[in-house]
Parts: sequence; structure tokens; C-alpha cells
Amino acid sequence: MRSTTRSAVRSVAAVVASSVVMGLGVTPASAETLTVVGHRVHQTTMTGDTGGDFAAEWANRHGASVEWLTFDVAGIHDRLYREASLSSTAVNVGFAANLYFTPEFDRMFLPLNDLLAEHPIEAFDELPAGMLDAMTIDGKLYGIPFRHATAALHVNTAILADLGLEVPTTFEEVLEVARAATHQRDDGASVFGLVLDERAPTHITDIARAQSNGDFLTPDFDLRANSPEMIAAVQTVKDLFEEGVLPDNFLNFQTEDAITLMQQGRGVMAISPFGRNRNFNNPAESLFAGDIISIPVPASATLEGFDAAPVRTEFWAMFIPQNSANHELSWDFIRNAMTVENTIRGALNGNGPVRPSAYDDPRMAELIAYAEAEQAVLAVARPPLPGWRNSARVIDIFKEEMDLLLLGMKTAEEAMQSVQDRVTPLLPN
Amino acid sequence: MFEANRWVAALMVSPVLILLFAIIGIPSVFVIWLSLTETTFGTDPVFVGLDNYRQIFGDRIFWRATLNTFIVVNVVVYAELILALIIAVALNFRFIGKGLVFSILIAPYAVSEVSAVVMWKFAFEPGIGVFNVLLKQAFGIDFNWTRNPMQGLGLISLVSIWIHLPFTLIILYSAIATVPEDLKAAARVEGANEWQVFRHVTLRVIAPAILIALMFRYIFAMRLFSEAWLLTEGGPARMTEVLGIYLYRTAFRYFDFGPAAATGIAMQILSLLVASYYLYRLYKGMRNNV
Repeated sequence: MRSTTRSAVRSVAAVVASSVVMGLGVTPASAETLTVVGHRVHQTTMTGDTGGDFAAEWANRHGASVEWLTFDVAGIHDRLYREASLSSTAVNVGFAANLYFTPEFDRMFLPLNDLLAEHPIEAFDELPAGMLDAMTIDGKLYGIPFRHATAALHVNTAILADLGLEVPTTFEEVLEVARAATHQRDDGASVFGLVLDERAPTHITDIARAQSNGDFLTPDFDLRANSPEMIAAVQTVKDLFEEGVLPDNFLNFQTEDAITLMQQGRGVMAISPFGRNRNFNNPAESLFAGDIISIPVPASATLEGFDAAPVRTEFWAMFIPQNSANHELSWDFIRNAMTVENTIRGALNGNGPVRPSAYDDPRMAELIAYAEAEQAVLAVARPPLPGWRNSARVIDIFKEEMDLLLLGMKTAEEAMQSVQDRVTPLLPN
Repeated sequence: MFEANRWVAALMVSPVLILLFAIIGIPSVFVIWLSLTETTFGTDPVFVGLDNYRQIFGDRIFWRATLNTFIVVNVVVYAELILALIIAVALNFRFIGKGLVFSILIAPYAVSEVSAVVMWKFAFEPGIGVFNVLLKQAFGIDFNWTRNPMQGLGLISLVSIWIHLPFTLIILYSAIATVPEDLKAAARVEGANEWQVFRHVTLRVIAPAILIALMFRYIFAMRLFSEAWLLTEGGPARMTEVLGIYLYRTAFRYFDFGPAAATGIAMQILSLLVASYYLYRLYKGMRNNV
């Protein structure tokens, strides 16, 4: 009896102990396994067919394996931050977007300066200084930029040809063509002239910049929601929505919807990152594979000094959690991904390369139809918002006011003034 | 002897109690403590007393979410109850293919919520959804739930009813099947018609089952999230937001864990109040029967 009781107590203790350990998420990291948290697109750019799987080559050289944990954008940051906040984590490398980079990063992630000095990244000086600055706190570098996503104008040339329309060369023409291309198909389905991924400030800023180089929020936190440029931009969106040029479910729109509409030919033009060109032209999914070209968003005819509009560019960087094991191995994985050759191979797999020289490689021009256009836009593009703790809250406020405008419950001036008033207290001091 | 047995009994159940405390008790205490702090990733929690509660109670969107939750939960729970009652009564008659009909009726409970929502979203997609086209052609109704918040809440309710109806149906069907035939026969001998038999015999016998179904559905429905999030994300203009979305947004988009925990506690208290009411009714009914 006594022995049974003791055994039961031991069992319960073991169950409780293992539950507590599992609850804390503490999983010992294996020396041979490098765990990476990111988006599916990060994985495919390192492991794709066109440029080859340079992550696997690295793993083979080190006798290691790479385990990818992929999520949607919000899920990546939630998982990464949670892992980095524990006493230890099995996650070795994580991707985070510039918009999510906050001052709290210095307590969760490893400063990379020492590793960089000891084992430098090839041609490090070539990486854009602006991107590196955005990943730096108090002189310490925390993230290595790996991927940029820069907005383009995607045009279904087959539909334009059917309608007898030309590819637009100014932003005014974009709006004209969008209006002219909006129609109802013979099968009764509506075809929308223009598709925007969503109604967030990151995306509406593209319109403001194409029309008048306007900004919603500058890198030094100068809030310009109620500026004439932003009011004109949201009014343009409102007009397009009312006229049926934007999809009628725009108030419930997500990136996946934009991709589907373009693939089905229910969207004629889209303002979306260059990399989306692959989705739009994917023969397995798209009814218009090969017909959709990706060009710079044209600037307004009245905007001097710009051929391509200075649209948004956002970027992803790689970080090493402070509490992870084997920092050297993690750093070597990052170094491998950032070599000049692998930057090009990643670009061939669909990545937006952060090295400008990648665009000069002949393979790029041969295999990536939009390489030259992307290079041209990258020269003028800039991030739509700085990253700080309240950026997600600000995006939601903006979307809420945009909805009220699109539903006709507020004017453009009222909506943007409300954004100005509500966002101001959320800015860093 | 009795005293020794008590200790043995306590020892025997203690593993389960310890496990329950570890799984439910510790996280609950942690959430209560979290609701009294200001904390996000990469920072140490700072005790702020009741500030988080003041913050959420001062947020108009919290109250709108509470109102939306109240509306949707009541619509969903009572519509499910009425539908389940009608179907359960019908299923208690004998007819060919009853097993197949029953299987079809409970099938939605086996479908993942995500799949169910995607299916309904396609069916009601503005402009091209099959039901949207039917509504437009048959009744001239332009059902664009992405623009109209009431239609958005209506669609959320519809999907939720479709997914969860089998839960209430199974409880009520089982309860009706156990109503003694002699009770009904006695009522008929006393001159009661079928409606009176149903109202005064069947309903009275299954009343505890109805209360249990109501209580559980209220508690589950109060946590409504996936249907609303996947359909509308609370939009347009956060006008279809429910408390589950409000909590999710605060915790996993803003990483603001103090107010998120406070919202969770508020939802818990609401659920407890509802459960207490139905438990009281149940207890009272049982005492009256005794």
C-alpha cells in the first residue's frame, strides 16, 4: 500500500513537473537543429527551386538541420516575442518586420555588433544604411535586413487590350484607366479597375505619395494625417469606392482577396508588392498567367522630380533571441543567407533583395521580369510608418476612420482630423 | 476508522486536484495578477492597481463590443434552443431515414470552425455569393454584410447557430427521448390535446436539460471569437466587434497584456453571472420537484 502511494505521488509529481515545464515553453535546443521563426515566404526564398536551396546547403555543411516555424505576420511576431521573453528558447533565428521593431527589442534580442566584427558579413557596407539605422538602438545593431517588399502597380495587360486601353504612365492615367476598365463581365461578375490590399495607412500612403509625395507619419514622428495630401488621398479612395472601381467588399478586404481577384481577372490593376507578381502569374492558380506585368506606380504628372512614385517599402530583418543557445551557429546561418551570391539566389526564389548590386546580376534580368522596375522604385521608396509600440493600434484607428469615411458617416476632413486627434497621444514623447 | 478513510480518500483524489490546480488555478491567478499590471514583451510588469479596468471601462469600443456580444449571444442561444427543440420533437417521431437526417443535422459539429466560416463567407460573398445572388434575385435584398454592421452581426449569428446547433440538439433530443410514455398517456386520458401534453408534460420534464443547454451555450457563446474574427474582424469601423475580438486585438496585436487580462476577467464575470442565474433556476426547480 505504502509503495503504491509513493509511486502515485511520484507519478503525479512527474506529471506536474512536465506540465509546468511544457507550460513554460522551455524546450532544450539541439545543437544540430536550428529553429527559425518566420513567414512561409522567408522559407521559400531560401529554399526555392529557381535559385536553389541554400539553407539546406548550409545545413549539410554544418551537419545540422533547419526547422522552420512559419506563421502569418501577426503570428510571427507574437511567437517570436513570446519565445524571446522566456528564460530560454529553442528558437535560434527569427524574422521581424521593420514596423514591429520597438525599443523593447534591446531586452529580447542579441546585439550583433560583436559577432559582426568577429565574423563579418560579406560586402556589409552595401546594405542600405537607412535599413540598418532602423534596426539600431543606442548604437547597437539588432537585426540584419534580409527582404524588402516594395509596392508596384500590377496590370492585367490582357484585359486592358480587350478593352482597348493602354498601360498608364501617370497616376492620373492610373485612375482614368481604372475607371474605364471597371465593368460587368458576360457571366455577371463585376470586374474592378483597381485593387488595394487593404485600407491601412501603410497602403493609403502609396496614393498620397503618388499624388503629391505626402506622408501619414514621418520617421521622426511628424504626424500629417490631416494634411491636404492625406485628405486628398483618402478622398480619392472614397471616390473610387463609391464609383465601384474598388471591390465592393473593400471594407472586409485582405491580401488573399486581392490575389484571388487578380488571378480570376476580376481585378484589372493592383497596387501591391512586386513579389506578388509570382502569385498573379502562377499558372496553377491564375487564369491570366503571363498577362500580368509589374511596373513602378507612376507618379502624378504634377509631381516634379519623380517618374516612379515614392511608394512604400517595408523590410524584414533577422534577429537572434538573447535567450537562445548557440549564437555562433545562428549568426553563421544569417551570414550564409546574406552572402552576395545567396542574396541573388534568394531574389531568384522571389525575394526582394536588400543588396542593390543584386539587380545588376544578369540572372535577375533573365529570370525576374520586374527586376529593373523594382530597382528603379527602390531608389525612391521609403517605409510608410516608423516602428514603435503603438504602431498596430494606430493602424487600427486609421482603418476605423477610413471605414467611417467609406460608409459616408464622415467626410475626408473629419475622418483625418479624428485620426490626428486620436493618434497624437500615442506617439513617442 | 472513518477518519483514516477520509485521509486515504483525500490522498487518492489529490493527484487530480493538484493537476486541476496546476492547469486551471495557477493560470487564473496569473491572469488576475496580470490584469493589475502594465506589461508587454521585453518589459517587467509594473503594478498599476485597477488602471487597466478603468482603461477598458472608459473605452467606448469595449462597451460596443459588450453590447454586440450581448446581442449576438442572445440571438444565437435562443435561436438554437427553439430550432433544436423543434427538430428534437420532430426526430422523436418514427420515419424512414431518421438516422441519416440525424447524422446530417449533427455533422456541422464535426466541421472545423475555420472551414465552416470560409464556406459561409463564399456563399455570402457580396456580388457573387450564391445566397447573395438568390436574395437579390428573389427578394431584391442587397445583402452586403461587409458594409452593413447589422447584416454583419446577422451573418456571424447565422454561422454560429449553424456550427453549434448540434450541441443543443443532442441534449434536448436525449432529454425528450427519456420522457416517460405513461406520463403522456395519463395526460391524454385526462383530456389533454397533443399541444397540452407537450407544454405541460414534455417541457416540464425536460426543463432541467433546457437549463443545462442554455447555461453551457451562454458560457461558450460568450467566448465567441473565430466566427466573428474570420468573417468581419470586427469591421466595418469595429462596429461588429465582440469581446473575444477586443481581447485578441489588445493581447495579440497591441501586445498590451494588462488590459487584455482585465477584459478576460470581465468576460469571466459576465459568464459567471449568467451561469449563476441558470444554476439558481436549476437548483430551485429541483427543490420544487423534491
